[in-house]
Amino acid sequence: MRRFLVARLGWAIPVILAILIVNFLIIHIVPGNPIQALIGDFPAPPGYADQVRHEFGLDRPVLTQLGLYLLNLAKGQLGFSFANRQPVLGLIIERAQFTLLLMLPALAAAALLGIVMALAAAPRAGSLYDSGLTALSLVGFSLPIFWLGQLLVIVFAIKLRLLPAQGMFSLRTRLTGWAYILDVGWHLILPMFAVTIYYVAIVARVARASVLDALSQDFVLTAKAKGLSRRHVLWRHVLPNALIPVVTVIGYNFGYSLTGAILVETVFAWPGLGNLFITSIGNRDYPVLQGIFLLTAIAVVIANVATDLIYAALDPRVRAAGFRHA
Amino acid sequence: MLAFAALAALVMLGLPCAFAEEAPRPGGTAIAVLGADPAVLNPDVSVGVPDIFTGCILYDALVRFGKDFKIEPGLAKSWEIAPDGLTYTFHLEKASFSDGKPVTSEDVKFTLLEVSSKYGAKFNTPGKAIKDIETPDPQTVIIHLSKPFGPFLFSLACEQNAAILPAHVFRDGDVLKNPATTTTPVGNGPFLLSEWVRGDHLTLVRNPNYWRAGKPYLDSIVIKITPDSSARILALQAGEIDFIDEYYFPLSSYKMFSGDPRFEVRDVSYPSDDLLIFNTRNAPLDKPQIRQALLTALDRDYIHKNVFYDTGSIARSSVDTRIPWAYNPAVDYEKMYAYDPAKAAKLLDEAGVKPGADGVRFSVRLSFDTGRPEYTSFAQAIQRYWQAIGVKAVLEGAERPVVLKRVYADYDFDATLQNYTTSGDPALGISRIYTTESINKAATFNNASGYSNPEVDELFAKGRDAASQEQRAKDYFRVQEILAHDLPTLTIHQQAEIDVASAKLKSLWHGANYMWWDDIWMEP
Repeated sequence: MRRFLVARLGWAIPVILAILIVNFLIIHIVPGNPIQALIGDFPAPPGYADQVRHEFGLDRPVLTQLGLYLLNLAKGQLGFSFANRQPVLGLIIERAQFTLLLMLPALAAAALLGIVMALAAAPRAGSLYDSGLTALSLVGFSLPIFWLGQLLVIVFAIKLRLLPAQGMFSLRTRLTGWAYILDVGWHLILPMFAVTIYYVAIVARVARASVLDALSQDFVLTAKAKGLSRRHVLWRHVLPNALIPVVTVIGYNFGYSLTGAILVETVFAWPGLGNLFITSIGNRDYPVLQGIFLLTAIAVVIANVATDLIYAALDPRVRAAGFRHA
Repeated sequence: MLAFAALAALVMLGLPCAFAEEAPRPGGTAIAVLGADPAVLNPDVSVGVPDIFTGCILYDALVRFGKDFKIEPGLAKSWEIAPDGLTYTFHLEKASFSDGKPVTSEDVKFTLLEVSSKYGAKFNTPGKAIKDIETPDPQTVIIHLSKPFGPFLFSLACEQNAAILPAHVFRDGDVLKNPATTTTPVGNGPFLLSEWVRGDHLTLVRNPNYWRAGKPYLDSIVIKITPDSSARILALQAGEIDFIDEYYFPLSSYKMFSGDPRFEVRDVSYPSDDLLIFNTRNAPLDKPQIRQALLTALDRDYIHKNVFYDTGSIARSSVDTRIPWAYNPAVDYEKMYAYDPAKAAKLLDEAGVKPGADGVRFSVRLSFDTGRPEYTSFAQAIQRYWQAIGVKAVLEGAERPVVLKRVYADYDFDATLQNYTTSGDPALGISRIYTTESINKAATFNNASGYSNPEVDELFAKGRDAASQEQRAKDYFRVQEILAHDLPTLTIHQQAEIDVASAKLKSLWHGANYMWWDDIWMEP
């Protein structure tokens, strides 16, 4: 087990390094540079542009810049944001918290809802309920999330005036303590709903298919023949077997959830990492982009390892194999 | 009914006193929205809209712009200009910075020489005109110029990178890395920064020691950061924000707000123009006659109504008509080059560019920024009109940095659509489109056309250096006549720059482009 973990994490280092180098080169190949973003739409005197370029070390060859970046990274320094004029690490951590606040509850709710819906639908495959669920999850999966978000704002914030249209807290009044927490929760409802709808659709579809598959296995027939109750069969025998693909889907999406909320964060002006990502692309803010790539790569690796560990917890066959195949 | 009759009687008697402006009410929080966080809180080292918008609430300058860009007193309560236009004497108000230190002539000298001239892209040219600055006493500043500079007074407003900064805070070390530039401003303006949650909002609170007695009226201003334009519009409709700056308001939403009594909509700011810039290095666009034909072939009225949603106006000259003293009324593209495809085709025939077997005379690669909401339909409209005279426009829409590289660094285009601000003065915003000295691959938003005409260069230089506005106008009138013939760049449309505010916000738009936030108050 320990050897497995060390091996997986050991593998992660070259992968992350490759991701960083490839991305570094890609964003430097794309036309545009942070100088333009820093100076703005004004014909700044050439001397001024050179001065800013030198200031931020952008007058060095790209490979030198890459070498310096990696060297600093080894020292634990993620660099300095051109556009935000502050260290990248602090900036990313601050924004990542807001994103996790949105994504973690949304993913948890989606996972739970998706599994419950699938467990209710799969045993009645072909019924009206099952077809309805399949249709609904198809719709949920196909709805563009930014469109759904705008629709939610128009209905709940503008027409009904029930919920806030954007942001993470009220700006007109200063709230503290519980009132503040409730206020954030209040602002969380619409964006979280938009994210949940999307993921619930994905989870429900996968879970339904795998529950159906498990239901057709011999051990289910055996369990039924033993006289076990329907509920017992479903929860103790079908569910653990059906969960493997579901865990894969959730783990996979969790890895991307840090930046996966880009569209929702944009529509709801949620001050998270996705929002920072988009702004940084516009500004060609290389250090911030690199920092976000690094964080995403690490999150994906961790999510994958965590997924493997959950497999083992769920499935004795994986445990017995001692992760050798993993 | 009675009340109505009384009202009608008052109106008929011409007694508007009953409706005179209400007295300002102190208190309240106004929420303004921007599309991005400020990069810096020092308005003298950046020209970014969020930086200037925020920075010019935190800082005052010697002067500020009133309606129609009239120069109004700021930290300078009065001034004298010597008849030769070389010496400006300013008398300062008694004001202080947020750390309690007074604003003195030393601060003015330090700011203009050590910060604005060195780090402010907009103050670079006026800065070069300064010979030296004298500070005979803490309340008097005497600026000597090495040569007259027409828009000098104009260049001393906060928006022109000339906010007065505290010398004692900035004197030591790197200005760009000073905490007062990056995070903790030491201002002299009506509001002070109290909180900055990056990516979400900044809170500015009332400066209790502000030098304009009794002001500001608002308790605080929250600047909300919302990068997505639809999200900004939805939030305004939901009543969550009170003000959208013109830079962040999409023209396509104009009609949604213009008829709604809950909002006030106003065309503000420096006039800016939508230009069609030709690369005059490429044949046959090097011939004025061809360019005249291409302008004659465009129905600008259609473009105005359908591309720009009936906002702004059709351009008539290279100088925007909204700078009335400099616009030459004898020049009018609408009369000189009225839409007439038959005439345009004839002009092309005369110039010797005949249609080939496929009906095409020549192709024009038209480069434009797809990020500007109106520019794709703008390009398509041009394509359609030119097609009618046998000119094939190949649309090369791309992301902004790509277009900037193609147009300004590589000259890899035949024609391009760009929006240039006039900066309110031909010397500041218009001459750069045409003069030889602005042909420079190392910078953007300059003379991309490659047009070079010594007479035009000389007239723009004379217009910039003349001491009086009347003298300046003479040079600009003549230059417009030349440009109306040569047309290296077609000024197609005068862009509207539209601010939208909640009707609850009062006393807005005393300033020409940026708000005078100290004056604004709010209905409960």
